[in-house]
Amino acid sequence: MGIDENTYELIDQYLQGNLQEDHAFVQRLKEDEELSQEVELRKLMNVAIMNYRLMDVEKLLDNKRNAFIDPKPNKWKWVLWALPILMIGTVAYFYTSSSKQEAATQSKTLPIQENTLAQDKVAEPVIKKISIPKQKQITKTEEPSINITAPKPIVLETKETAPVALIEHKPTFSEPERKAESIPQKESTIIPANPCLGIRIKAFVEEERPCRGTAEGQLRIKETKGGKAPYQFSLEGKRFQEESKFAGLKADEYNIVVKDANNCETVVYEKYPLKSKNCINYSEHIFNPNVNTWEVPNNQEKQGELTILDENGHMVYSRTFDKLEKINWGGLRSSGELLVSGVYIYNMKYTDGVVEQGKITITY
Amino acid sequence: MVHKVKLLISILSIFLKAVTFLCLTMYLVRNLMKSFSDQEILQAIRKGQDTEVIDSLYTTILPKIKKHVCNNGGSLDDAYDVFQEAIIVFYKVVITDRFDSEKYNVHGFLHTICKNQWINLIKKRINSQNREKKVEKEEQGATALEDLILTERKTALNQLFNSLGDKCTEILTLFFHQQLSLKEISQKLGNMSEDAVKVKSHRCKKLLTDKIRGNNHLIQLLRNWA
Repeated sequence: MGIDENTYELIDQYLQGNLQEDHAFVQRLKEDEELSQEVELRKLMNVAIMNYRLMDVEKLLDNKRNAFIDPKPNKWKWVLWALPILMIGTVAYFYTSSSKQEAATQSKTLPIQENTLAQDKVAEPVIKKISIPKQKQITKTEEPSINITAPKPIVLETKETAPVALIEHKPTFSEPERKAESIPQKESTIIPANPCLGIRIKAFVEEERPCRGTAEGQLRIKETKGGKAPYQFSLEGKRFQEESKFAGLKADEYNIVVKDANNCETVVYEKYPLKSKNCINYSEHIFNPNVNTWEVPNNQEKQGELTILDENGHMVYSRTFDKLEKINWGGLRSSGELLVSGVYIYNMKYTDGVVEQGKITITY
Repeated sequence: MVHKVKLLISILSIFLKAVTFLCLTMYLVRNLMKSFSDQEILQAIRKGQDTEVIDSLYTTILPKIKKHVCNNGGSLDDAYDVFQEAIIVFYKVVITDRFDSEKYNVHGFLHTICKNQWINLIKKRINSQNREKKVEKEEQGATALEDLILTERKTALNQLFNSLGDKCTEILTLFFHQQLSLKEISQKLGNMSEDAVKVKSHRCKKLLTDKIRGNNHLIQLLRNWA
């Protein structure tokens, strides 16, 4: 039947519910068998297109789930961890440095009499009053000038904002002098900048699951970002290749590594779980129960269970089988009734967990 | 000493401010910028912007579902299963224009689907634990069948669209998934005029219908799928 474009548009409108019951097309539909078949086909076409899209959504959800279950390291998380540590470190630093200074100040405010206790050891207490510029450390470099008014306690001259002026106490000269001078000069070496520093390569992985028990799976790495193109790809970090597709994979967990032009490697997925799927063998088994039986292709080395289901999902036949057992099925239900012609699905589950599936067509 | 303490306090306050700012920014980035309004979600689904929609729902809905499922004896895997099934149901409802945005809000709708899915899953598990061995076998058979039929449908659909060719699949996708106008599609396809797009889409739809017409097995599968 030749249906023109206008009729197709009317069919679409009808399926969207945009046509009233009294519309000429709706009336024609009631009488025209061929047209109603066309509408039915169009409806199925819409179902096909919708489900094709939902399959894409499912794939997207699977990928997202894999990424969530095995998330990539989050740099913000490191920042959040680093901040409190940094804070505690700073507090600890200030606490220790302030307690040291406190101790130093206490020793400096001691009365001179206490210092004189050690006068037989010390030639003369040398007190130096130095005014220092802001934020600078004092080092003893000049010959001290004596400026003492013993036995009064020494009062420190302080400014609120500038570091405290020190009165240098010179008891024995046994302290190591000018530590800074004694530090040996180190040769400075220039470390070349690491080109991989901060580079993180990201990629999107698309999978083709292998049938259970086979090595037919595929992993395709797509939308590689970060680093410098061209990229090389590897599983487990061995044998890098330019092609982003890995075929012939069995169900397992894979570490997917990407290397950029600067040889910077990133594990884009750690333990990517490539799962297996149940596969249907579409090679048709056709037989006529009135003429012959179907020789079930069970693995003779294993025992298991055979289940046959109709297209509506109802189990029609089920039995167990042993090793070396040959099974012939005559197209009968478990109850003994003969099945009508049509497509049936068989499911063979062996005791070791392997499942074989396929399709049987019964014709008369 | 006093000024040291003051300095310390000021440093502490700067750190606290920085942490608060960072947390707030992350919260905004994760929850506000990524989350869409109900209308935006519906629009994005109709326009085929699935990645954005799923990202948004992952941030806004999934944490609640995880919490609900885990608090009710489920695992994280269960939560993901329930969430995925709910998203597919929601997509179906939206694509077929059965979502009444005046009656429901997206988050509430999805949350209800998830809860129902979770209840169904628990019931299924309890039933399979309590049943006798014979019935259990039927249950296993039913699950295997579900997998089987689902795989068969998917394979058949993939074969169907592969046989259409890339161009036709692209045009049908743009028409149905993204609901673009002829003008927008012609722009997306590069050199094609609007008329050419119209003719091509008509041919593609006809080709698809003919392929379905000639495959009784596929018709049966699609009827059960509808």
